[in-house]
Amino acid sequence: MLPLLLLLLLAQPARPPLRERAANGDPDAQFTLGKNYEAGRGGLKKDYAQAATWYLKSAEQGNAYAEASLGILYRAGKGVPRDEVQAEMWFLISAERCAEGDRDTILEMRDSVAAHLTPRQLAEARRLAHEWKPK
Amino acid sequence: MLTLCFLLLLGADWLTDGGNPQRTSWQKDEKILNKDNVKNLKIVWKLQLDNEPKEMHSLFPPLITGNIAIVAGTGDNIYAIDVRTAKILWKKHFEYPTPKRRGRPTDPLCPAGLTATPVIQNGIIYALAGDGEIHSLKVADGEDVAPPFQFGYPYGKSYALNIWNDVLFTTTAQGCAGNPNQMWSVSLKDPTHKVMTYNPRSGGLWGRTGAAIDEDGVAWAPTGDGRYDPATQTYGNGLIGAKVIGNELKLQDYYIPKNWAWLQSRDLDMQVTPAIFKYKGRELMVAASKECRVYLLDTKAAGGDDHQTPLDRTPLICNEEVNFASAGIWGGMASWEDARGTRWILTPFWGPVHSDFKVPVSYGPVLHGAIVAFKLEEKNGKYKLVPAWMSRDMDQAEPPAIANGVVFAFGSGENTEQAYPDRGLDDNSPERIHDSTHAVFYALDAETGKELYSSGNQIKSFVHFGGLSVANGRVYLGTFDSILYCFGLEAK
Repeated sequence: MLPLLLLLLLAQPARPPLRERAANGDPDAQFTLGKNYEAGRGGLKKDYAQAATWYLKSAEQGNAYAEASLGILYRAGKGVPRDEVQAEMWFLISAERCAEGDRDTILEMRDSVAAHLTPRQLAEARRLAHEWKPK
Repeated sequence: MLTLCFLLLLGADWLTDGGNPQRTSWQKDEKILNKDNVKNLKIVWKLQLDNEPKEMHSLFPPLITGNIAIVAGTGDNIYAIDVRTAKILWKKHFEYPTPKRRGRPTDPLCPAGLTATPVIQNGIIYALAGDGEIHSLKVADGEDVAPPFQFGYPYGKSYALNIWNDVLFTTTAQGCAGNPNQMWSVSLKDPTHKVMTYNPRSGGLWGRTGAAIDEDGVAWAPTGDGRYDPATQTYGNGLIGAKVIGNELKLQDYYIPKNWAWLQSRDLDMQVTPAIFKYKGRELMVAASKECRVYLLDTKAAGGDDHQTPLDRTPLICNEEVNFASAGIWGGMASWEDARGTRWILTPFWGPVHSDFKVPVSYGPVLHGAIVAFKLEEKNGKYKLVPAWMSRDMDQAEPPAIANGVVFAFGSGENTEQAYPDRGLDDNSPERIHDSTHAVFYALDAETGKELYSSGNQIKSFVHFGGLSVANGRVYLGTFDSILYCFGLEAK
């Protein structure tokens, strides 16, 4: 039994490294890579611009965590220009796609940004979110 | 003077980390310190101990029994100190062969030594040495009253011991030296000392004061980052309650926030020891996470039928930028009840206050951390944590203690950065020690949060995994340089 299990294990292809998976378009890997850049983890230097880049790649494929994380970066102006309309847009998009259990959290962040927006800015954020489509 | 002597004779004790098995950090028996006189606090004495710090750890919160303070140090030392004279009555050093496995040198998470605050019951200190053995020592002279027995793994990073009906509890975290993250228990009545564990298949159970124990003997501990999948008994990012039944530690209940996946995705784990208390005849508890909100739960049905619905949860208090390392709620909670029957909940937090968090009373901008007090209110069966006050800014506010209408708190002065812009994650003790400053001890009015006393620059070093103990007009705090500070009203 044990040799069979070993054989099966060896037959499994090794999981490619995170960066390779991210580069090949895996949205979960792209989110994780973005998070590692944001936090300076996984052997990476802290680089908010790189974090935003990888979050965007993941967000464009519909990863709700990456979308919310982009909202966080835009709100704080980390790696991207501080832009509360963009932040609101990403939180709106994320809230539409996230798991039910996470929705309250995303909505809380969305509402927090919205409280600082003018009606015109809010309308713009909503328009952008409405028109946004995953690639 | 006579009154003071009498009160000292009556004695208030602090026999376990957090003051009691419920971890409320409320010293109900304090008679000397009050909000009128704490402005006169002084360092009554300070004592340099010969404990060797390990990584960032040094002295754990003192236990107080009568006139004796029992202090554990991560260099595998236990000291008994006469609090009247600051003289060491006895010292015990645990010797053992160097374990084969240990954490990475310089890793602040895994110090190679004693890591669990001991516990005292019936004049006996139960101390968990770095090799995982429980020692049973007489408070009076430090002599062993029973042979040591194995409880944890060597260098397994156990957290503060708790005791309930002769059963010891601890938790482990960070997988130090390759050891599992789980809840542990052992009955002192069991001659075989069978070790009973429950593993929630999560990240570490790293609430600072280990498990809190409710009136039914259920030990509650937070679980670190991980998945939630009840089908496979996987309880990451939540709070588990386990109880000794027969000779096994069995899961009784659990709470998992609905947004556990978000918490996991952003490393915002629940890792705060809850505080358990009675309110209007019901036993409740409060817990928190790095996300920076407080949850109110019923110990009889944590999270209700679906295990995911708290009685109340606060809005975000801090951590607007969703930082995994230096923001959020860390350590433990605290709770007390005033003379009018108002139940207060206290939480420390790190980092700037959330820009949306509204509190009626505050004391200037909060950038590095603070204590927030909530009042618990109930109307028609609905419970609400109502913000009451937020303290002044504190450099990494740590779990507070309460006594006689005074909140004792401190900013640890610890550098908590784990990652650096020039090289990413590099959590190493030497650099964090170098970049740490010093702790500041505060006394606050428990009803308003107003600062009544600050130690200013008198404490010379920082605190990591230390904590406050309060008894008989004295407040104790140990620092990284192995100095034990005793604050009180009269100078030596």
